[in-house]
Amino acid sequence: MILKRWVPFLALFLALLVTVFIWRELSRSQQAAFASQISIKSAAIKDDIKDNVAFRVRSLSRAVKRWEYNGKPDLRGWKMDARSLEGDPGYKYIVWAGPDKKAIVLAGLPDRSAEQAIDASFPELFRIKSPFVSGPVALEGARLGFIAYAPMYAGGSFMGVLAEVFDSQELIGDILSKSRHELGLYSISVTGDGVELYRSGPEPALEWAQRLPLKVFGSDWTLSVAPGQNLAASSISALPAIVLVMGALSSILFSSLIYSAQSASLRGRGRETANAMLRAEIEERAWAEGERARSEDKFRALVETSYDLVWETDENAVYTYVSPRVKQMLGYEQHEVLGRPFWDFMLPDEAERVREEFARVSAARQPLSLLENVNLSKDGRCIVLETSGAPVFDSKGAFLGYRGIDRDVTGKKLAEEALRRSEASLANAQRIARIGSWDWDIEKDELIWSDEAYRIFGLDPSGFGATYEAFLGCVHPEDRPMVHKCVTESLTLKKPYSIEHRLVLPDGTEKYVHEHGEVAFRREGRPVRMSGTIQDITERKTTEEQLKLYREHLKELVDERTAELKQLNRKLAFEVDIRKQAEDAVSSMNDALEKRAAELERVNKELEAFTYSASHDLQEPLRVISGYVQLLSRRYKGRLDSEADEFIGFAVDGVARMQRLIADLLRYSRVGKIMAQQPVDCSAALGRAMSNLGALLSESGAVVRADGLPTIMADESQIDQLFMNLLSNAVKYRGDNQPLITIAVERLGRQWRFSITDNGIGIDPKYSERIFELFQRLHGNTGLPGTGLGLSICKKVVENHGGRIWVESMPGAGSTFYFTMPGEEAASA
Amino acid sequence: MHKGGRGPIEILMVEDNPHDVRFTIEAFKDARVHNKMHVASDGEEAIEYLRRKGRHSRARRPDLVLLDLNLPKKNGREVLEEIKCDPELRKIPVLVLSTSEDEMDIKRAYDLHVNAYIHKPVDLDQFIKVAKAVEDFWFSVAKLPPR
Repeated sequence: MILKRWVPFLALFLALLVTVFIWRELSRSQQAAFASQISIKSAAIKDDIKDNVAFRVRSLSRAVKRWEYNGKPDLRGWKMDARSLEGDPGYKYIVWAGPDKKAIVLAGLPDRSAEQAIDASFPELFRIKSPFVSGPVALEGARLGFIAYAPMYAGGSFMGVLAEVFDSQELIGDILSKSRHELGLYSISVTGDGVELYRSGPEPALEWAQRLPLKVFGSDWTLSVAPGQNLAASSISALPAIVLVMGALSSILFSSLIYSAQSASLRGRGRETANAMLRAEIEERAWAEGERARSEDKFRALVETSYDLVWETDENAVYTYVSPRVKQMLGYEQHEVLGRPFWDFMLPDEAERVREEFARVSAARQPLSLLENVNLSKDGRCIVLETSGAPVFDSKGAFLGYRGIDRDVTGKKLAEEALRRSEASLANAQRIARIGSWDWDIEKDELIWSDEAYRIFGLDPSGFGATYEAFLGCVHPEDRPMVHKCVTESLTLKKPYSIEHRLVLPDGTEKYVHEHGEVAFRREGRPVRMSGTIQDITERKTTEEQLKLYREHLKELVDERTAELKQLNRKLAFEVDIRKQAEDAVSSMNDALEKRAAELERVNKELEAFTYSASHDLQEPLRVISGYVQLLSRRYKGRLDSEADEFIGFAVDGVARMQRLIADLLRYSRVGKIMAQQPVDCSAALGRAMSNLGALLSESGAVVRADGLPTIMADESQIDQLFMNLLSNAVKYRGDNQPLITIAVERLGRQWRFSITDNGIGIDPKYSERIFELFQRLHGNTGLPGTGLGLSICKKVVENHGGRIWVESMPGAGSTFYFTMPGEEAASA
Repeated sequence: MHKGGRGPIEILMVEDNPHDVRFTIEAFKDARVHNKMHVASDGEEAIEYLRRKGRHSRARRPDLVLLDLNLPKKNGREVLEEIKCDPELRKIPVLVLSTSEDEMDIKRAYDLHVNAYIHKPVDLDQFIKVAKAVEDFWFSVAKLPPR
């Protein structure tokens, strides 16, 4: 058969095409696996950060709720709460800003930059209705942070804002360090408003970077996750490139083989023609010998220029002839090879295998057909040869040995090996990532699944006729319509699809998978094939389900607790109601009492005013009477008869007594108002009282003893009056004794207790109350002089000063009058 | 100097109560003070008398004014203030004669430059002593400016 000249080029082209295809698929699946690994990581990181920051903001907000419950800011309580936060990572300090727009630091170390930020945002702060997180804030020491605000409303009215300042580097750093995802090889950054709140990890490989929005309580941050350059470099292996290079080389090799085979075949045709010519010549001219030799030369030339190694052996595989090609192929000279068996150039194991194979084949006199064997070249390289040969017999049919060719297939073998390894590596990657891949030839409805895909489907590769229908059969019945719809849409709309659905495995278990598919089209738009990946996400889903369960459980707990709290609140509200009613009752009683007291006071005042004006106005006519009676007495005494003199005397006496009475009444009513509280030296007051009483004391020969009288806060004239009245009483009611009066004072807690002891006639204890009442006199007009107002005035003076007055006495045993005066001010004065 | 023979002491008593007027006159009589007592029964009349207005156009300037505090129309304090603000009249000694012992009354009277504040005694004997003391002091002991 003659091959056309363009065949090698076509072969080269096709081989290159296949190589490129394999290379592309390989690198694409590797990249897809890596990209999905990054997106899983970044989603996990995002959740971690978001959950943690939200938790911290909610803690703040809970504190405010407690305040709201109390109805007012409880700075002291919160300061204690806030102090307990001090160890928390990222915590800087906490501030309370009331409606007076003054920030009060509750706990932690204030940061001037943050304070400015808080001050600057006051106008907006007082409009917020719910907790929110600020944009990035520069902190002292070139740190960055943010501020969480929680507003407080009590009874619907705004009370202020509680703000917590965080060091974002420390906070996010801590969150990530506690993350169960291994993040060391990743570069992670969080930015807000173009400012970097956080960055960690190695130099990023930016082409793999993934950005996710990160929103927590109104903050608008962006999370950026990128693998480190080392990680990116190690994850994307050089395998596809090796495949590409080796494939290209093999393609070239392969096509050159075809080319040489073609050339050989062409030359073969030439040889036949020559033979024919020779035969013709032999027949025609019978020049046998010379021509044969020439023909042999030609054969030799052919053999020696052949790309393959041409050889002959004896029955024991010992080389009897090798073409010079052996030099290029194995590096040996021809004479170095001759006389040695095949396996002399092989490693021991291979040599053993080949010897046995040869023994088996040669025993049956069978041809050697494409027997692969590994030889060691002279310089130690492994050369894979494909050996073909036919047994040679002599004319009598005796077996002489073998004749054949060796072809060097090392390049092909290497390429095959590389391909195999690459496939194994892909399968491995798929197994680890639990991502299977598939390829669906739509026209033939043939599904090719990777091993991992089979594993995911729980199917045995040998026992499954992979078609689209068979695949749908594995999908969970509930998800089947959705999956079919997605695939159909993907085919009609020519766009990739990405879905999650369930599988039902042959053993009945369910699995969650994430599937991603893409369609390839012919030029006229008809879909030819679809390829994609399938990822087992059961674990993730299970975790999610579990999380959901936990969350629900948590919610139940919270609901329960809330219900309990509500009930408690109702109880409390009930109690508050009852208490309030009681308070209302008390308060209305108080009101009534206050009203009554006010009324009493008014009546008292009126009475005093009445007494004052009455006595004052009484005095005027009395003075006239008194004056003219005196004039009468002075001018006409002894000029009228003796009776007239007596009557005038009575009138003078009566008027005088009335004047004393009125003067005392006036005094009594004046005591009603405390004039001026001032320090009063009681010794001096006593001195003044004694000098006012002058004649009375001296006439009676009274002895007054007083020691260490204090200075008190009081109305001076009233205290004078008090001493005067008590002294004059002690003298007036002296009986037959020379009056001996002792004034003493004693400290009783916050009060002074004064005592004025006399040796007078004493008082029957049954009158000890009555003597302090108005106009109560124990002695008639005929007895001892008095208006009946002296002790009433004393009582009023003492009570005006918040004290008490009483008497201890027995008839004939003298009396002691006690009174108390406030001592606090005087003690410090 | 009046006692020296220039006739009775001219006294203007400003007092609304006729009983008090009479009693004062009697007390001065019993005290044997040689005087001529003129009476103004309210503050306005007192001022008219001193300024010789109306029916008092021919009145003599008094040597002494005895002034009660509670008066109709113009009270004693106003009268006192007017006298002590007048460059001519303020030479005349003015004695407040009042039943009031109120410290505020006393203080205010001296603030308005009263010459003496005298508590009007209830006792007749006391009153007579006061009248004598006034005559002794103002017309024997004290030297007054010429008229």
